[in-house]
Amino acid sequence: MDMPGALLYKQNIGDRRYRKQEVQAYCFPAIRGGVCPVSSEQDLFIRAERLRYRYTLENGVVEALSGIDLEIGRGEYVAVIGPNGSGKTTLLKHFNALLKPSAGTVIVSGLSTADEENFPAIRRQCGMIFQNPDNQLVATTVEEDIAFGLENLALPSRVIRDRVCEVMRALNLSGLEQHPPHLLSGGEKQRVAIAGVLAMRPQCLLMDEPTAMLDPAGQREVLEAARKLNSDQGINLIHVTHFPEEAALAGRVLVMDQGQVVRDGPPVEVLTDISLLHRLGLQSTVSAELAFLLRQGGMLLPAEILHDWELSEALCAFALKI
Amino acid sequence: MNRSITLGHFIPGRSLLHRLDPRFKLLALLNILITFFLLETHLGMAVLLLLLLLLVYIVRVPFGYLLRGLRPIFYIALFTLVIHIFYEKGGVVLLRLGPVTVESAGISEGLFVVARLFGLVLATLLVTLTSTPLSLAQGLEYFIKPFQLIRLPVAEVTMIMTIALRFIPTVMEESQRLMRAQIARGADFESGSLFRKAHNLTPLIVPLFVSAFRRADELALAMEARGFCIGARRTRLHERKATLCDWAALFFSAALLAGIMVKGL
Amino acid sequence: MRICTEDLTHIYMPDSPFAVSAIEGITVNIEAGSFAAVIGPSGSGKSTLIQHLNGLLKPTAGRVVIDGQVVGENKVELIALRRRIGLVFQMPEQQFFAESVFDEVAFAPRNLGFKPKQVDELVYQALDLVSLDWKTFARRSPFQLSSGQKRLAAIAAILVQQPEALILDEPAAGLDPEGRRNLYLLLSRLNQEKGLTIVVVTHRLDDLCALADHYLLLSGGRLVMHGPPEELFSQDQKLRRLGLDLPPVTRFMHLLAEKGAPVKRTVYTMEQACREINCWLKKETGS
Repeated sequence: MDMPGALLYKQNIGDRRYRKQEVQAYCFPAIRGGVCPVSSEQDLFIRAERLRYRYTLENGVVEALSGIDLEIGRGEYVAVIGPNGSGKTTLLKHFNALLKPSAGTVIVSGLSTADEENFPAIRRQCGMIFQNPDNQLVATTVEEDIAFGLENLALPSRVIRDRVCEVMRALNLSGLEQHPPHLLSGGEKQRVAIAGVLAMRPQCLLMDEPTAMLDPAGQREVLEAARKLNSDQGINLIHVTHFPEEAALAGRVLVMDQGQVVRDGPPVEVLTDISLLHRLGLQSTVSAELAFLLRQGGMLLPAEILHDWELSEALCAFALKI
Repeated sequence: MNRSITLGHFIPGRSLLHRLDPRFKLLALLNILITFFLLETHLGMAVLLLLLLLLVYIVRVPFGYLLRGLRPIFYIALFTLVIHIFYEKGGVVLLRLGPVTVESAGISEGLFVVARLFGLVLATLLVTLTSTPLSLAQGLEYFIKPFQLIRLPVAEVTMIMTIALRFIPTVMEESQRLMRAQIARGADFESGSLFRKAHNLTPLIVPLFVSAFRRADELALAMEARGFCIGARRTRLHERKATLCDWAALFFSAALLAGIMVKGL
Repeated sequence: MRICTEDLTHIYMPDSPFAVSAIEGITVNIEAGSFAAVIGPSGSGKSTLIQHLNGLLKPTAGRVVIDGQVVGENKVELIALRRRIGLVFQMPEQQFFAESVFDEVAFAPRNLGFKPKQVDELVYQALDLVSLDWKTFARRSPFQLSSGQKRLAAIAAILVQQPEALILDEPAAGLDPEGRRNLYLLLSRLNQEKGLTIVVVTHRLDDLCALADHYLLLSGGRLVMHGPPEELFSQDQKLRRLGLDLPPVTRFMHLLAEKGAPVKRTVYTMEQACREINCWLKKETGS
């Protein structure tokens, strides 16, 4: 698939600097061409095959996931969007074995999530950040909380201390060691949660709407911290979000509806499919929405407009032409 | 708003007392408390109180804050003093109000008891001011560890205590907010009979429970996701190793106790 | 209803090492029938401010004046005041406790001692106002509604007191786009058709902006800016310094203007932006 060069700023693994300050979307080689074909077994990190998940309620059986086939490569940054109840969170919980498939399989780093013996190994590799920052911090001080996962691994104290120190520095939390969690800001709480997961040296960060309950400053804080992990350390991000602006930053976007993945591809493709998004009650980025409105008014704009700078350039070019 | 709620009296700091191992701190406290009970002379009491005041100076607690901690016992102290003054007889008669007399032994005895009361509370405050509730809980865990032998789930109990300590401020904040929200809907938590009052608490308690269950659910999930498993071996971020200071504190407090007992101060 | 504060200050836990002043010397004037937005990053004192407006918090210094009347400490007056100024807290559905939507909404009128018949009537009106169908919803458990419906039911539980002013703390938090749209429709209807004075509190400058006609910007417990939206949205740098973002559309228009396009920067709805851009391009064709 050929993407307009001016609109897509490709980068290779060796040189991950942004070519332009405001262009904060970048792609990983793994997703170069539309739907991700994972090239070799080695690059494959998560594979779901015919994954189904059902649970029973008073009024019958509900199928939350109905037949999902998915491959996610190492180092990929995947955003998952979809209306409420479409199964986003349920899917995410399958990736660190919090839920067991009712049918089909989920393989994480070669380990099946159906086998309880694999749970510790899977959970060490796939850390999860939840929506409510308050309900995932366990301990009464920041450092104790970050240490919680490592304590569960029964690592020696010295190792735990070193790692806690290391991740606190990496996430700009130094100085808050003795702070009780309830006195932190929302953004700080989520960064502590990320630090707690990161200390276990995972390959993948599963994030379930981690910014939904934060203010803009907190959102930026958390998002930047997570994206830095992806670009600097190659940690997988699987990010469930309902903010289109956040999804646009990923390398790949999955759209879910009624327990199925209905669209899978790079943001420029998925998030510009405005009619699909609107049909599902979702929105795209402001620029994509604006471009959609302008196109409806008869203006001839390129289809792949997602970011502010893209639309502004397209409009300026349009103005020059006439 | 959340800064308005603090648990316990802990004041962050790096003083000698702050750095002591909580286990040793608790043992030393025990020694001091016993000493206070065994004291018999005013001299001994004065010495011990002076020692405590020296510790207060070392810890550098804001004085007003200390007074706030002592405030609840002022009334008890006053009450005790009055009782002693009027009922303890002996020594010189200082004041005569009809059939009631105030005698010097009453005053001296009353002051002694009040001093003991303040001493006990001050010593305890010094420990709670310089240790986080968590470290105290972990100190206690050490002492109840032997009960593991009779199948008491000590590690789980400590985990429960930790989580409780973590969530008390959060839940208190939430109940405050809920209370205001229901007041805005015309709820009345103050007037009426006891039964009425209890009934009126429904709009507060139901949402609190709903949210507590949700919290518990999410927290359990988060803990599981981070590899927590009941019964599995865990280690600690801070494995406490007793230092020379710890032993010195314990030795000093024990010496104090022994000295009092031997000398009969 | 005209809501004013004069030099309002509130300190949490005064005279302790933990004393924090949440708001300091705030003087605002919200005219009757207006739609005001209180904006500020978290911790700027927004929630503290609005809890003073119906007497839930007592000022440490300064005072609140409602329709020329100083809010005092008289309990009876306070109860009457809280009925006249409805306050919808953040995530109001977390206050639900009753078995049915009806009981939930009827809580306030029952507390006020209305007769069952009147309660029925009031609840019916309130549910109607927020467009929740009586037949479908009155008997349902409030816990089983969708998030958007829960929010509407929670607002109905306040509207049932027939307030003259409605104050909402982060009313759109946690709602999906459709829930937000319904909420905004409701708020503008209440303001324009019912003449309610509306105050919304938000940490995000977004779609809510299209509704309000007046802004109060708080930072660090102080009122730093106030005025009509256009004035506020021209101050990109200042907002950023305060930890606030412009609405995405406005940000885009700023970008476009920086590239030399002759468009207005202080636009904050999609439709306005569309119009501006079309206008500009039409001018280009003309010249």
